[in-house]
Amino acid sequence: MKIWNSYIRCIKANCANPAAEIKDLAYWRNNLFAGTIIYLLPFCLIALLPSLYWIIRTGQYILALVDVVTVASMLVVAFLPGLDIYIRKIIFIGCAYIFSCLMLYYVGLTGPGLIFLQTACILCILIFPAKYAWWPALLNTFICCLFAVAVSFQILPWSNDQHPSTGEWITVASNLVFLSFLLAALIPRLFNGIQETILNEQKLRQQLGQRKESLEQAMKMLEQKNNELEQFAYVASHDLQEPLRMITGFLTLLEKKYHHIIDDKGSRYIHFAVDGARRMRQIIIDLLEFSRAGRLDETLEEVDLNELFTGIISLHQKQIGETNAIIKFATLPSLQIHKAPLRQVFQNLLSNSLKYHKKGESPIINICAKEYPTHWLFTFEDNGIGISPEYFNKIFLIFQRLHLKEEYPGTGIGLAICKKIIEAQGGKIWAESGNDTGGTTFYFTIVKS
Amino acid sequence: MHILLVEDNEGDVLLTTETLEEGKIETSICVVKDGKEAINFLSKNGNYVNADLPDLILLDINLPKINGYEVLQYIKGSESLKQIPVIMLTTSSSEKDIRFSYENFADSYLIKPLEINDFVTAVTKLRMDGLIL
Repeated sequence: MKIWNSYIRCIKANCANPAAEIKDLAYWRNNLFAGTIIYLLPFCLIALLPSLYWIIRTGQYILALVDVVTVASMLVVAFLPGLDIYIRKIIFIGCAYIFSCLMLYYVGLTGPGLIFLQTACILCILIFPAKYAWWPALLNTFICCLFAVAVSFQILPWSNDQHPSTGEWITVASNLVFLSFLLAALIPRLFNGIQETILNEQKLRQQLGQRKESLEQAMKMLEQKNNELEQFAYVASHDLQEPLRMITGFLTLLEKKYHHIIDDKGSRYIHFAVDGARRMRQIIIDLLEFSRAGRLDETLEEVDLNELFTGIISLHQKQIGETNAIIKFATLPSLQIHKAPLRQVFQNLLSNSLKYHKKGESPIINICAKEYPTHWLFTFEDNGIGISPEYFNKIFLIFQRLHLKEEYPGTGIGLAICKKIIEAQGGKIWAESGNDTGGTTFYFTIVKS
Repeated sequence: MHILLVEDNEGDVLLTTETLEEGKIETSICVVKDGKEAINFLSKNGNYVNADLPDLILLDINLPKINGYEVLQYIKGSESLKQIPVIMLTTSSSEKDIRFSYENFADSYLIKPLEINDFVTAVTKLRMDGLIL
């Protein structure tokens, strides 16, 4: 087995190009050629001795010489290193044709000569590129004509019982010629079709590779830009806070320590300055929070939303107590989610509902969840002051408010953060008014993972 | 109470010292401007040969040369210094900063500007834990 494998490897190294990167049509042609040699060579060698013996017994020495030369050529084709594949193929086909012609001459029309001639033609079409397909057909035609001439003018010394008539020869030969041309026309077609498919696939593969590369590059750039933006936001807000602190801190100190020599007007000026600085600080903090929101760098975890919500409620205990708020939630599911961002969404919605309640009325907040095939739909309903439909889109914009800060405090970033977080996870968030209490209902979806 | 304040910003130093004064807590405050100076002070190097160890350290995070975290690690890594309570002072309320401070054994964490009430609460708790006498 080992010897056979080394033998195959050796011939493939010589007659094919096994290390080719792209397995195109030329590769498979060469493979076919190598395969032919691999199986033909042992057959030739095995057949050599008996045929030599028989040939010499009948005294056909020229035939013996040709036989030996043919086998020697096959050995050269198979084993001689450094020879171009093209040359090997020509030698092989040359041998095939010479052998076929001799078969035809010595064994005659009823022998295997014509079959070998046709086979040589087919092999030639297969192992050479398609543009040479007509050559073996033409060569066959030429050989048939030569033989026709030899037969009709009785040039070659046939042995008597083998001598065909011109008519017989033309009948047989014309079939051969016709079949040769037919095969020369058909086989390349098949190969051309395959070649086209192979080339197409290669082109598509290349295109895919290019697209993938440019996509990866774009993603890298996007990530880089994102990081830059975050860094910028962080540094900006960090570095802005220090000067603000100076303003707030010293104005407050000024008032505390020198209120006895500052008149009312002066106190008012200081008050507005301090208030301005404080609000600016809050805006910076909110901006920073907004830039951080929606980042999904934590892994998904299984979260019981009932527990999550109970926790949020306890954080807002003071406000809930002050307004006598009632919060109801139907059994919420346990989901695989990013915990911290979602907690922020719930927190912001709750905070809003508690803040924007009708004067004199206690806020009543209702939360429920409904399951759909691809997602969960959450409903956050309150009986507060409500939102006019014309502002439904505006409220989700950053720093957009519908009221004066004296009426209701806040910078207007809560809903913008909710939207960023929900959309970063592939969900949607929107508001609807018109429930029977006049309040607002917020809907948002969480995609199932 | 003898306090070491490690703070590079002059304005913040003034705000902090004024706040502490106004809170009527008996304090004597030493100020150093960066992390390296803080370490020198605590190791009694150079000018600080005769310095007493403080009862409490107020440590800013963003300091030039050596930052507040490194000072914290130095303090808590030293046998003679680790029992001194350290309150981190910073502008940032980010979870990451808070967690990092506690992971390095800070005793408390206050956000600038220093509010007297927060300070008193923190010190009271440290007293209750027996960290300050």
